[in-house]
Amino acid sequence: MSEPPVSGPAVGEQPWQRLDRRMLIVEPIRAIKDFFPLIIAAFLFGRSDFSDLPWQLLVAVFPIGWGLLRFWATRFRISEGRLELQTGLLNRQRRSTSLDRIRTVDFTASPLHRVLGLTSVKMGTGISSVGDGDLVLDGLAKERAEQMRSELLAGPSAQEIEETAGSDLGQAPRTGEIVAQLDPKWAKYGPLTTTGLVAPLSLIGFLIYLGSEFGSSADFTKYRLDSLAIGLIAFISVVLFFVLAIVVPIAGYLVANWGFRLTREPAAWSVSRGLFTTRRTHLDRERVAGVSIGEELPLRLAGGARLSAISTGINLLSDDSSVLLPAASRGVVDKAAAEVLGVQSPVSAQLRKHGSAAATRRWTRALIPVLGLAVAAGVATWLGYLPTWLLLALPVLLVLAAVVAWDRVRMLGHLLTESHLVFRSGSLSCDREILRTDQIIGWNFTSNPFQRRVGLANLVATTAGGSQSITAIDIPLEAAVAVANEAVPGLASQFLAEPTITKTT
Amino acid sequence: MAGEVVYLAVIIVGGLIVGEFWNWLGDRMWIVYGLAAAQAIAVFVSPFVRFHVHRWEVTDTAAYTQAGLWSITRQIAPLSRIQTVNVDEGAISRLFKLASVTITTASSVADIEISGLDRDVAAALASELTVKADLESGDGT
Repeated sequence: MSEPPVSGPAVGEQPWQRLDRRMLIVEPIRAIKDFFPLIIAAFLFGRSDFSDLPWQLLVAVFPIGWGLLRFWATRFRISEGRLELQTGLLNRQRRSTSLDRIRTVDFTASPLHRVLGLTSVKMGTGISSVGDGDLVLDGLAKERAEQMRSELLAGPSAQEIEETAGSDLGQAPRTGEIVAQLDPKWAKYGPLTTTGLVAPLSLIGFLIYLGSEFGSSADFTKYRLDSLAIGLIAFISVVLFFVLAIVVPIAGYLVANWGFRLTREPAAWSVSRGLFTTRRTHLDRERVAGVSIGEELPLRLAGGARLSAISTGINLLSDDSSVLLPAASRGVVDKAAAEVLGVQSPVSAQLRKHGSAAATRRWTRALIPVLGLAVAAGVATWLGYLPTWLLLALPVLLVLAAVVAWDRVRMLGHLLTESHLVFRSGSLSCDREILRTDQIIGWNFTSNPFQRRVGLANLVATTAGGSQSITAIDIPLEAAVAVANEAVPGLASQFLAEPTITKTT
Repeated sequence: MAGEVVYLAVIIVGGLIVGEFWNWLGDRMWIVYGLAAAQAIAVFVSPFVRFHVHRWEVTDTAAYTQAGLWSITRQIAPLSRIQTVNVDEGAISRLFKLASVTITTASSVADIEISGLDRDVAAALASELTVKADLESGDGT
């Protein structure tokens, strides 16, 4: 981060600007919210004769003042091709970034922002370190934010943007061509995504724990449980399960994705969504290095998938700026993916298999942990640490592991098309990752002794965007070298002309 | 090798402390000694294995390394994508006049480290890489 000259407007320098004045309403409210526990405590623990009142008022007023000062301490400007942002009251921070390094622009508006016609603008740069690369201007007028975006992402002319500036934040401007928009029926996929499955699974875990608690003590009367109580627990569990597994994820899906729209704009892909807090992400089209199609097993069985972008400017622990489509029907996802990539074949073409050695490794890796668990559980039961009925879970686990292994074999594959590299692996969590070959900035080949014995390796294509790389698991070494040679001609072939060298190591 | 020595120290010190408080292990201290002995062997064996495995090569357009003990990784990075070239000399490495060269690219999983180089070789390699990387244009993404 380079330090800009501190003061004294030179030739061509722009004056500093402040955030929108309406933030003077937002900041105190937010500060009171942040300090709320302290304020409550001050009033709860004060003396009843009001002798503490001055102190209590000070505690209440302080956050408001703090919020206001925060507003005055923040200023920014766009000058000489750089965006400069100065924040902080006590620890003054000054950040400056080159405009052409900004790859994503994110508008987020909480309900309070929306009422006041404001939006928070987050700019993602190509810096991959976590958190450091983002600049946030919290609180600009919507029109100002739109204007700023057009300055940041070289795109449509300013006039075009001004025409659309009046539209609501939650809606894409009329200039864009809509690629996909929310079908409320997609909400049924909400419970089937990885996040949707966590809550009910944790409940099942809790019930098993509860069961083992009761099961281990033969003396049920100790707990004085009559049939009514057991019935009640069962009923509550069923209702709770229904709510956690189905109602909550569906509601969560709709709240997060209400009004979802993926739009093609002249220089960016724009994604807008959100019921209460609206969010609109702009991905610089030039910077979209590829896409990742999420097709975890439950979602896939229901005929759904997800789509996210592999793009520079989105942080490593990718926040959801990279979402291009939330869980949606497969056809829509494939169509949108082809649209974003500009070609159809990487999305729909059959992948090349990794062969029988890779398949064997899928099976052993799925089954050995279960068999190990079975032995451990058997011993524990024999020694009396576990109730016998818990052993019934083992065949179920075994079947599940077998299904997962079978599915992993089915899904594992790679493909190199004219312009894209495609890797797919996984089952319960499964991604078809598609990366433009000109975005590959290096190769890693990794192999452990088991893999070397059967001539397999993991091939990692590194890139600057998304999670920084895509990986082909257990790909035959010859295929890996061939893929690397063809995808980026003249790079790997300098070193890996003969794939057999690995076997000597 | 430094890493292996650290592991050895952790096993011995950790084993003694845990054994003090956890009677089950305290009664079976041979487990700790066994692990320590195995690690002590690794301390002496691993440098030879690593020396046998480790390779590096820099051409006009790319850098290539092979490293690892159990899991062997080979990395290739085109010089046109290099963002920084670092030379590091650790305290122990300096005793032996050694240094390592680390090449970073825009991808955080593609940092290439060539370790255990002679100090002069490392310095020459770093300047060579810097010159070659500068010849190409672009911001490395």
